[in-house]
Amino acid sequence: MEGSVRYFLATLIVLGGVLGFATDRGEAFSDQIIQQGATGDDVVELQARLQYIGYFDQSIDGVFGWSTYWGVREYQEAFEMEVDGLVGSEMKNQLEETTEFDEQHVQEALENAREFTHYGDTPKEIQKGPKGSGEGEGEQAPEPEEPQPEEGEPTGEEAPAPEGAAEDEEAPAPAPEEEEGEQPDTDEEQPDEEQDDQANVQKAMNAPEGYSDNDIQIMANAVHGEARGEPYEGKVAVAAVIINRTDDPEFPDTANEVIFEPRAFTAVADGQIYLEPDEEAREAVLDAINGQDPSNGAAYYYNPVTATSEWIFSRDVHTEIGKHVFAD
Amino acid sequence: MFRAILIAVLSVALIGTGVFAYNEHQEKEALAVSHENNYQKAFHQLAFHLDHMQDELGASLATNGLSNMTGSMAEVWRISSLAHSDMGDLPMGLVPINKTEEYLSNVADFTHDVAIRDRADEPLTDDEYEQLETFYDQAGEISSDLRGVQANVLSDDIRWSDIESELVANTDPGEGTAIDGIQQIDEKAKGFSENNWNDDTASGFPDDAEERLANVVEDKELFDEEEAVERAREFLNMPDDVNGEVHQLGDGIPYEGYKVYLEDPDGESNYAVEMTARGGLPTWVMQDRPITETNISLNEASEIAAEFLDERGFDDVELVDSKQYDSIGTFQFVPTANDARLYPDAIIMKVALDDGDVVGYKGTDYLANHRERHDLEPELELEEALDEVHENLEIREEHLAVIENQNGEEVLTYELYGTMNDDTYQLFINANDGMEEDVKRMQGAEPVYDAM
Repeated sequence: MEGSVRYFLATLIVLGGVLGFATDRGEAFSDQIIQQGATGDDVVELQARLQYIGYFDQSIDGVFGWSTYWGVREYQEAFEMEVDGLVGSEMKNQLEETTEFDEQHVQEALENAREFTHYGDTPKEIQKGPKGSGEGEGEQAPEPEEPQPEEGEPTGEEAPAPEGAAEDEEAPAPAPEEEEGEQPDTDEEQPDEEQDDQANVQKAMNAPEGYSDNDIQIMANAVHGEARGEPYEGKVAVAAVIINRTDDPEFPDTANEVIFEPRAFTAVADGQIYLEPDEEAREAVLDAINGQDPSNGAAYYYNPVTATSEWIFSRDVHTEIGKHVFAD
Repeated sequence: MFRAILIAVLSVALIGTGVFAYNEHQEKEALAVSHENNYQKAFHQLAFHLDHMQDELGASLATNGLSNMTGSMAEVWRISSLAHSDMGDLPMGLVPINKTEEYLSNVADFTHDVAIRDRADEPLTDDEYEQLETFYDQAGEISSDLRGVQANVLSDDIRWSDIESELVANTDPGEGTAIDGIQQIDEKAKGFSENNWNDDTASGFPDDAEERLANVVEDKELFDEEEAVERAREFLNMPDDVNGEVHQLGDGIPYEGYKVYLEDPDGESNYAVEMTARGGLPTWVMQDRPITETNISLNEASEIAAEFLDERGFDDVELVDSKQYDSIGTFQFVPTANDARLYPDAIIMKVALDDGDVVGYKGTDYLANHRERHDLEPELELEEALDEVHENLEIREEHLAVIENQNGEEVLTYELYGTMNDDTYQLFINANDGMEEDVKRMQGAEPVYDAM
């Protein structure tokens, strides 16, 4: 049974090849200048195109990080442009001339968190792992198997799959209403072991130096619990107090220890820290990590209405924001 | 008959309730015990670590060999960090006992400095040896006091959870309790910090940017509240009819300052602008509003930020870091002098990518530190600095940079970016003596773990 399904799919692929659909070049770049630190579809395209001709071998994640930066510089050097790490119109034109970009292959793989790569000399079908495979680790680089000419590849505009009917690598359903030119997933050319420079692909985002996204999440939880309903400035100030404490010899040295120090924060003591933080709390934490400090270096804050401890009132006040007084 | 049934039903209900209550009680007991055990562990570990630390300090005083010295210094450093961490596990958030923590932190800093430096070149000075002796005596005092408290805790079966409840209820735990004992120790530690080794500010200016800023502005003219609003409008290019609200900053800050809230002319939320009262120097700006769309690129936003600084007389700033968080761009700029990037004078900017407005600025470090620096001529050639770099590292970018090193001194360095096995590193090599001042692995992007 499975064999016949495979056979059918293989036939489809061959047919698609014979019908010779033009390779989808995807949307071209937007006209922005792309610089280090940027995120988004333009960066995905940039990484994919650089990978296509071998200037980028990390995972395509849509974040213009250091590896992308060096790739851009090497490309600029190779094509005798000004080496500045900025991707302007000249470089984009050059990239469009020298490389191809199969947007559907890339975006679909990103969508489904598949492992995938985008090398120009390797057939697409073997540059893709099963759904969710991008979350595994797999960085090794054996040679790509039997490179095929690019033209043999059927591609085309993908009709959006109906909800819940996303195809699964393991059990492709040969739906008769499949459009021609659509590229069905198949096991056929799936090598068994991890193959060719499988990068670990996922959507990604920037993180400030020294903090993981999870650290930011814990701090956002604390800020949300402590400063719900406070103005944004007050949230940033609370996040800043946590960071100020880590630098203060009188307190523990990491954000986690500061937050979970018994009785240091009421929201931690009464479990409010486990509420789901909102986007604003996260943004406040990012602001504080990036150097904003409306508390002006305070290590304490309190709500004068509810504060029970006497000595807190003896501390020098820095500023008042919303219901909180910030002090050192 | 009916009554008999009723009695039976009620009895069953009563017994059921009793069983339920008993189970609940058992569970609560178990939780309370495990909570208490955590506190007990932290406390006994603290006493043990302080004892141990004193032993090691004593040993380091008696050693004469360099290698043994390094070993015991590193050991003191490790134990003092552990003790510092133990203190953070006790329910002391409600009692000021921070002087003891500060003491431990000082010991850790001192021993770390001594342990990592090459004492064949720089042997322990007499002052440092004396400092070590002081630490030893102080550790002895703290340790024996703590042993006393510990004996009390053990013999009277004192529960930290009870102390905690008393503190939360804001009743004074009173004399002779564990808390009282620890507070007495802290009183002692307060005396220690006065004659303790602290960051010796070699350059003669304070450690803290706010205090340095206070020095910078102390002779400048004083702005009154109205002038402050005026100044804030000017800084944000706002028309004169924009309403402002002024607050004075508290006296916990080393300089006098104002916070001005300005209404946003576009009807969005207010801007907050803080500035020094003397000289009217804006230290930070923040606007809070939802930013959802992305209409301009990070590059355009960085141009906007650069122009903002340029128009306001921040001379010769260079963009050194830019990051996009969805629809927000954050940037770090540093001024340059003689081609050297002055990292201590960094400015942070934040630009909304929907309409390109500046929504955040922080200039405290720039205002506090930016000055004419006179020693920006490197004694080493770049090639000589590159010789100091690990051979597996491929250097791809070089700059001159002034940074604050780990001892808090400003040093002129070669800032190098290199790659090794897919990772990018930032190195700072001292441009005068070739010392490796700092090496950082540059963090990559953060994968989104809960990918849909």
